[in-house]
Amino acid sequence: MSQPSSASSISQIGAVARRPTGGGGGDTLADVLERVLDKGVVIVGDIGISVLDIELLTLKVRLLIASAETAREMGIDWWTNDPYYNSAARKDLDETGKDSDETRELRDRVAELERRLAE
Amino acid sequence: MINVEGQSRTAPLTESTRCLYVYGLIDRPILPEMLVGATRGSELSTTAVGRVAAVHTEADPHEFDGLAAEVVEGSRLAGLARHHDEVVTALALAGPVLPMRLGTLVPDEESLARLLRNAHAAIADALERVRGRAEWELRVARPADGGREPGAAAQPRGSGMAYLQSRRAARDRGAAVDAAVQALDEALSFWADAAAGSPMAHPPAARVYLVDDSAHPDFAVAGRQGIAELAALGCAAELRGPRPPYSFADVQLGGVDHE
Repeated sequence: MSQPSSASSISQIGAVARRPTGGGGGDTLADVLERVLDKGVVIVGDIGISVLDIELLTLKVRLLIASAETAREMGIDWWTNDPYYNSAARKDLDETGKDSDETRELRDRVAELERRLAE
Repeated sequence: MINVEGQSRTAPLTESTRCLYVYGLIDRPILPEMLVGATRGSELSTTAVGRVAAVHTEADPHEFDGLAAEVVEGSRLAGLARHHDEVVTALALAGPVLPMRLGTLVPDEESLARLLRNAHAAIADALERVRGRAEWELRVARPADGGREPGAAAQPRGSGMAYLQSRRAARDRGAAVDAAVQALDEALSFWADAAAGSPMAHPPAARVYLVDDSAHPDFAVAGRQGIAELAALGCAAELRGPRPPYSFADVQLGGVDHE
């Protein structure tokens, strides 16, 4: 199965405003997975291949998404800004190449303590 | 759910077997070259039977082996899902489409043609139902604190009476939100050809609508009005679309209907 090799717009074949323009544009990965894993025409019986795998995958993804949503509703969303757990936050850090003021202050304080201990 | 009976058994795949990955069902063969730009170079083919056709590409069935449930951009699952959605969306731009579920593989063109032949009438009917229509999704998120008025500060700890009053006010606002959500759903359903719940969505509200292009202006106005009313109640509501009719592709191919 061929995969996308370069960026290209789906509008190349001429969309009108009220026809589907999704294609993942603006949709979160959870949104896209919700559609493609859980909805659409299905094949049952021996003609289909990997159907069972996909159904199990759907269940697992659903649980993951539901867990994340529930956690967010409870205000538990610390990982969304933690570069270790979140690639977007990591990207932000990489792009700025700088630590936050708080982190910089802590680094300075640790350095100062280490300097005093060494004296 | 439409179920089409009467499939012959197919031999299990071997290590070297290639198969077909199916993206969607359409009501006429679209020239593959029309879709090249839309699908980032994917080599798409069609298998047509009568008035219906399936759009597919050659695939290695082992590509799906060990696919992890990774809801992370850049993962193998994310790449497959986004690519599938892009191809289906491109097909929807060209005409009516019934999206296949991610990871739909069939052994060969002969098997695919047999599926199409056995389900021809059901597929043609389903395509007719989505022709010139798109799917829209309404999502409503209630405030995390259960319905405090927008901009209002949290109540300081006070007397028991004050506490009960604040609970009653929150309950009243919750009832107002329920009524506004229901009114919005009714208004959108009025302009839509069909509506359905979103099985993976969380409460309080996530609904999908199948909207004809000609009804879209009225549908959009109803949506804007309802969303504004919900915003006044402190709820974040959003109407997402247009999308291919994933939620309205209620066709099942193969197997035996036991219902």
